[in-house]
Amino acid sequence: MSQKNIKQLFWLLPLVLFIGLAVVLWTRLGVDPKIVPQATTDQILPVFNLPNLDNGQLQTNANLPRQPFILNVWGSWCPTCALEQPFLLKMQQRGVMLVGINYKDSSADALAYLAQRGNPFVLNLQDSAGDFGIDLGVTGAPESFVIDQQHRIRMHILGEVNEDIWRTKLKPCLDRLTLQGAGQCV
Amino acid sequence: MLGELGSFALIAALMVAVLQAVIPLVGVLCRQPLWQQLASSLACAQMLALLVSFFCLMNAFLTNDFSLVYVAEHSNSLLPWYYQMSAVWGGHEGSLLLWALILALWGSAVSVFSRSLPLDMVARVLSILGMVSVAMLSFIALTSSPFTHDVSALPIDGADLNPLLQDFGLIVHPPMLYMGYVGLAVPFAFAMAGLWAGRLDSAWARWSRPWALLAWSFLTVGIALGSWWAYYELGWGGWWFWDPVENASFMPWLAATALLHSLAVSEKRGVFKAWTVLLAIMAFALSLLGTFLVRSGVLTSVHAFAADPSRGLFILGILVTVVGGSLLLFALRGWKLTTESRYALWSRETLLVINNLILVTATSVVLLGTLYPLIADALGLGRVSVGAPYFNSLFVPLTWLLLVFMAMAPVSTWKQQSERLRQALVFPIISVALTAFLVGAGLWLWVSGKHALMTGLTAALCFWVVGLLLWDILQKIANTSKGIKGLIYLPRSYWGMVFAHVGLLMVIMGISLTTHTSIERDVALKQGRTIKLANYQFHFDSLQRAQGPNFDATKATFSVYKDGEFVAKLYPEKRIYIAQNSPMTEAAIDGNLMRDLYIALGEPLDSHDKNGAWAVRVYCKPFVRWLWLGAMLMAFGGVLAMSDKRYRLAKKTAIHQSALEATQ
Repeated sequence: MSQKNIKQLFWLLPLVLFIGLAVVLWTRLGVDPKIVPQATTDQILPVFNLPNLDNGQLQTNANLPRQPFILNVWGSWCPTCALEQPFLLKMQQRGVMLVGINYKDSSADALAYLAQRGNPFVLNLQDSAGDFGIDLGVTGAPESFVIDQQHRIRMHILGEVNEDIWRTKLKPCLDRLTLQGAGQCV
Repeated sequence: MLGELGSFALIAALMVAVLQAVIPLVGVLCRQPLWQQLASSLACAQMLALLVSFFCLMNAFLTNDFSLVYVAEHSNSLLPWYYQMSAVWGGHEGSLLLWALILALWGSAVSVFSRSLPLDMVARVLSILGMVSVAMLSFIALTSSPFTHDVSALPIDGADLNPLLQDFGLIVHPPMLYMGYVGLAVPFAFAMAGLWAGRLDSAWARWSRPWALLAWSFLTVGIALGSWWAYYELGWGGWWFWDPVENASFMPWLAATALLHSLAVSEKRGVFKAWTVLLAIMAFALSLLGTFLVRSGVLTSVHAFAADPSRGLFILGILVTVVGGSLLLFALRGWKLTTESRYALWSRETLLVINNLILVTATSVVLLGTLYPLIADALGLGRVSVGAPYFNSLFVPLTWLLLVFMAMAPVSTWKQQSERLRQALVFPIISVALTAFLVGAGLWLWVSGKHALMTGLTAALCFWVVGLLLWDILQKIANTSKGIKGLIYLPRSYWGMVFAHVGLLMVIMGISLTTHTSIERDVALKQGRTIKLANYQFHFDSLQRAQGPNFDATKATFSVYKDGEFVAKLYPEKRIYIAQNSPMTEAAIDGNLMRDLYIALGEPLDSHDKNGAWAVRVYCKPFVRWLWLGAMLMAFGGVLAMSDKRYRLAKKTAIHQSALEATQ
């Protein structure tokens, strides 16, 4: 190949870069960015020692329900959480067990929020410093985790939970965990 | 009934677009002037068909025709008429129709205003625009028609427009933004036409430059409006979030800014042609990429439309065809464009190359930051997003670097007279820089916070740029010997540059000052109580109920005093939109050039006590308005430069000149 031909190959560089980008984009199609398969998925829930929001008593992993449940990260400061709240109440009516993590919040604000909007949670853990959130890999609020009876994390959902996500993601996962005892969801 | 007509007009527009793509193409290949001439009429016909289609959809919204699924999902009979009108582009399907309509408007504008260009060139440009139209229109017609009927489940009322969108911002922001980034299709088409014809000379750069300027001005206004809208509507006083979709509009803007400067070199000096072409491709490719990111659901964003992988695949197909095709053409033809050219190290050419490098680096920074979550996930590194700190830490030094060269470039000269910069400028550069740094240091002391040094340095650099601009203007006046009157005789493109640069400085100063000197407080406040912020006292007077056309509101009254003197009354609201039962915060702002006072009502902290405390956000944001005013000034500069008389004269002489160049 002559010198000139090699120089001409150089002009293909933008095209090659673009094709690389296009391939990456193509592999991402149909992958829902709200569901997070990450390091913590299928791991045991990190150990915690956090106060109960209602009475301040310290709670540990042993106080968690012995059945599949949803761990919801929320805060009174978070507008999307307020949007999500009616649907959480609806899930509670459908018999879903919800445990809340009150994330980076003050207990006065949090209790006022629950008093006003209703409390869908069987238990609320107070993570005012956000340490447990870091262990969980929380990026913001609201986020929800599906936890199985052995306290393994089975699914991680970023952002608001709504009817659509319930129908397509959460319910199938919870059903499988209830019927089969355990198993992977993602 | 009109819905059917709209659907029909859409299909007709697609057919006309096919003709617009094919007939001039054949005309150019077979050298048939008659076929080439048809391009203009076809472009106008396509525009008219789309206009009909668009107004049919708008009519469906205004007459509450909920048999159309799109209308039922995005409107409501209680919605005021102006929001019903703008709800046309409040969702995926309608906004794509707007996209296509705007592309057709640009196409017909090219056909009308380029009569003086060589016929084969216009035919090529319109054929390429036609191809892009075909892609977008078939996308609409096949996967996203806003005219889909569903009579089986005819709803009594529509689901209503998202309350966030029920705002003046929706009326103006999307059309302006689309005018901008769809407008980048025109310089793209010119670049492709130039590559195709094998002629990319000064005349070519002169033809495409006004279009690039106009599209860039629209894009600037569009982005600024979006930022302003977010600022007053979202209720937390932020004006830029580095959200993927904001980045999607910012990347083409950066690329287009680089393109403008590179086009200047290509026009004046006939060099960097390949680079200019690549930038034109990049700018439009980034517009298309933005469209893909927003509509395919690959990223999470506040702006994202309902995700649908099949739509994503279609847009990816368009992206690959348009951008891949043009880059292939670039690879095949581009290397022929390189010309030998001599210019000195400290000439304006060099400085503009540096400008381009900085802007392209900035574009890559944004691109990488936006796509990093995708790339990391594709490589199995887990889902991460880089967030604002990444962008901020890279953009601040890039801006400083840009300012350094922005100060020097306008006073440099083309090609060889680098001596002016090196010798004649030594005194002004030093003196102006010294003054600037003194001012900057003063500001540093005044701001006196964690980031005072940064603010001071930014201010100093901005003053330096202004100082050299002023010095350059004074020199130019001195040279004309007409005194102050000489100002009018300076070409409009020069004034355009001055306004655009000063506008950018205003934006930078606004960002820097508001970021580092804003005071923000979240407090619990009862009626009758006062909160102090800086020199201001905010007194919570009272709460009233208020009713809007489609919402119930709680309206608070605040009186603001400065050192005991009355400043303003502010009325922040908390609204509940009835149709979706969704709460919205309407912030109240008292603004002037120096500062904005911003109050947003949070939640009542005790729902049982009517006179209980409310969570209230109170901000004092100095100089935040400079951001948007600066952007407007930049856009004004762009339009001013576009109206320079050489582009009008150029039209008359273009044929003559291209004939001359052809014979050379």
